[in-house]
Amino acid sequence: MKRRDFLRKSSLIVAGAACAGMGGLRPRPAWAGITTPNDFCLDIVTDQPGYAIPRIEQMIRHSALRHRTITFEEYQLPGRHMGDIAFVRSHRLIDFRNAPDAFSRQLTDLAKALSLPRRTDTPMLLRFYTEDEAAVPHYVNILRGNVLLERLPLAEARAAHRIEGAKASVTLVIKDRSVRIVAATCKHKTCMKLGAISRPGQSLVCIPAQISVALEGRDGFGVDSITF
Amino acid sequence: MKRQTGLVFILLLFGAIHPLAAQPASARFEISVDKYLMGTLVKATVRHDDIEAGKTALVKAFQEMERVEALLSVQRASSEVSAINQNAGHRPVKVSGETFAIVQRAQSYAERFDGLFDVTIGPVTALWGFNGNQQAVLPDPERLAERLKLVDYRKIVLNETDTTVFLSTPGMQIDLGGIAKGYAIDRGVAVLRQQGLQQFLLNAGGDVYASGQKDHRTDWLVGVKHPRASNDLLARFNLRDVAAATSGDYERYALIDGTRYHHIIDPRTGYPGTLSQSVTVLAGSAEEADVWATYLFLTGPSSLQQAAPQEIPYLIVDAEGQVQVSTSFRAALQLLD
Repeated sequence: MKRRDFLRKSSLIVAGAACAGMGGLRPRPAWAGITTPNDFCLDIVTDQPGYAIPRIEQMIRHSALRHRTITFEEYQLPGRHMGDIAFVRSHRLIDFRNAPDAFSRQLTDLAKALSLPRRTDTPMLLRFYTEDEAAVPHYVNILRGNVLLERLPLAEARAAHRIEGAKASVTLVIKDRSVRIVAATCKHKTCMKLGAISRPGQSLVCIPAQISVALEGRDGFGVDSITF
Repeated sequence: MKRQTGLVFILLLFGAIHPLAAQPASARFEISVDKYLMGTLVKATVRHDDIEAGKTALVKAFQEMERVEALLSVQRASSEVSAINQNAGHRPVKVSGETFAIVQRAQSYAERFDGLFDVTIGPVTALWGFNGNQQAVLPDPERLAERLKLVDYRKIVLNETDTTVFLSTPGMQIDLGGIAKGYAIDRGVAVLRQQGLQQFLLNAGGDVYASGQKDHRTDWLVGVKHPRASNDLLARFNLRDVAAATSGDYERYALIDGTRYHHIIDPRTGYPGTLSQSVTVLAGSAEEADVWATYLFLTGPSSLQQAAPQEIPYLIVDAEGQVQVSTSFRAALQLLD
């Protein structure tokens, strides 16, 4: 993937839109009208995760989310990225800098403390979101360890997309909102035999390449773990 | 927070969603780490009031599992097991008390299961190419017969006095793959408990240990992968302070001339077991579950009544896809359409 394309796809606005499932920016109180457990997503791209995470934790502990299930994911983003905060509620990207509620004000303070927005090298993507077992995943994450190599939209069909891994490379295809590995340069090709995945949290793992092709979300089968 | 290269943290701030549900006094966090170990992906999840403490516990658990891998992996030339193999037929090798004990247990399992679980299967599995990054091949029958002569757990000579292990025939190899993964999980469990954690879940390539409850109302819920429909579950069940392991013919296999050849080799024949598609077993430890699953997979459903004591819960899918569930597992298991 071209670097420019990757930067575009992993940028905050795109991430926020992915959370929202649609576009739109509206300055409204952060917590007004939260009624379902799957309407919150907070993405932060920063080179100071150690500063940001405990503060977000505290904000969540003291907010209306304290009795909700919130997933947090942390990924390293290789290369140079625009660091910022994207906040989505009720599938809308919130202009928290102009919203009057306490959570938005705290987010604004955090952005100032982190000197966001600004360009940073190899930052971390911190993502807090409410879990939705029934959700349809919007993106497939390509991971090597905790390094988020690429983030591909599931809605866009893609043929023969190659990913270089540790001791092998894999080639995936996106079609009909599902992902399948169609080629692998390793010898046993287990990941190719796993078929297509389409549920949130499902992943295809190539052990020799140390590459995980993971659909966003978790509990696509409604279980905590799978024995196989 | 320190950056943990190679780790992915997934945290859940857990609270009751239903307004009538009892809510925890304070937020509970769920922290998960994924890491490639022992030739598979290991996922550990803990629940803790304090995120940093939970993450620290996970790091220590992974360090412990990495230590076990360094001792027992046949893929590592520096491991004690590799030293044993390299000196097969030449001299006994002094090993740590821990490695000695696990080889001793492996030999005990072999005796108990009449050689159907045999860690000296190494030369045969190597010929099939199911180890490491190799392409699976149908071995030449003559070579296979030669290698099969090297498979005999009774030729592992153990000296408890000086903790030496000796493979008495040149060319013998032990492969602890069928037991080490479970043992590593059990060590991870021990480390997490030493640090006071009660609620956690470890999954190493499909071997699972669930500790405590998911929350104050529900147990951890574990799914069994369908052996012939990769995008479906066959069943699910609740798990608390118990391990579950599955042996199946559908993850590591090769289709050669239209026939499925998989990695669970029958030590009696040198060929993959053909009586089962999948066997899931529950046991007190992941090591036991791992070994039992392999054994019952090879035994097949017709001998299950004699092979498995009543207290061993199992789910077996036979070669035709028929499902059998032990009485002890029936109440807890939910078969899915």
